Amino acid sequence: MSDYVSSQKTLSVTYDSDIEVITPTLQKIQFTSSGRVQLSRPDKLRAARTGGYSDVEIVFDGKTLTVNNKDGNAFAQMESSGSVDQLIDTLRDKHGIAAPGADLLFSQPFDVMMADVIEMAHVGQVLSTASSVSTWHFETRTPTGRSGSRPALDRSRASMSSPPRP
Amino acid sequence: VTGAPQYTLRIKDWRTEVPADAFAFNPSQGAKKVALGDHMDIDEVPQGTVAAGGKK
Repeated sequence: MSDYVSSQKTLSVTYDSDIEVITPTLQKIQFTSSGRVQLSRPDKLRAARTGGYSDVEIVFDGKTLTVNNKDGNAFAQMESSGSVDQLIDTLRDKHGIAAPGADLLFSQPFDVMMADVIEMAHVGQVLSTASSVSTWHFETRTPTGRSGSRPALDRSRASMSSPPRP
Repeated sequence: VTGAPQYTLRIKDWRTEVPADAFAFNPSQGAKKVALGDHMDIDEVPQGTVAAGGKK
């Protein structure tokens, strides 16, 4: 799968996302969003996310990164030369902004997803009825995910599909 | 809380072509330019829902 994704110079997908958080009063709440990601390797990215509470877009043309808050009709820009890989790291590490499915956008997604993995198991085979595609379901563990000393990264429970059929 | 947040991403409509103008940014009319740190409430989880330190 990673080889296929890496070999695509341009990609465009739409997505639905759910994030579930637990409040200090131990209430579990799910927030859903939808959006689109467009990528042109090595240095162009547009990712939009619309949810019930925010409508946001990031645009990177290889030189300038724009973070556009469509709800507030306000945008911020910063210079950012380099690749999308570097941009994703900068956004996540310095600004707390995570691009949807960011691990899959890296030029070498397998290396990124398998970093820190200490244990892996094949759970079984899954048929996605939505896409009629059979996928393999893997479970991975990382030290950070297990100990809870840091927030578990999403890669700690990555499931990997067989290559999408173009 | 250990084990949270839980995040699910479903990818749809996979394409391998992107329009040439997809990566240009054109601000909408009246849009205000702010500093990156001044963007308010752009997270998918509204501010104040989870305690500090519990963010993704």
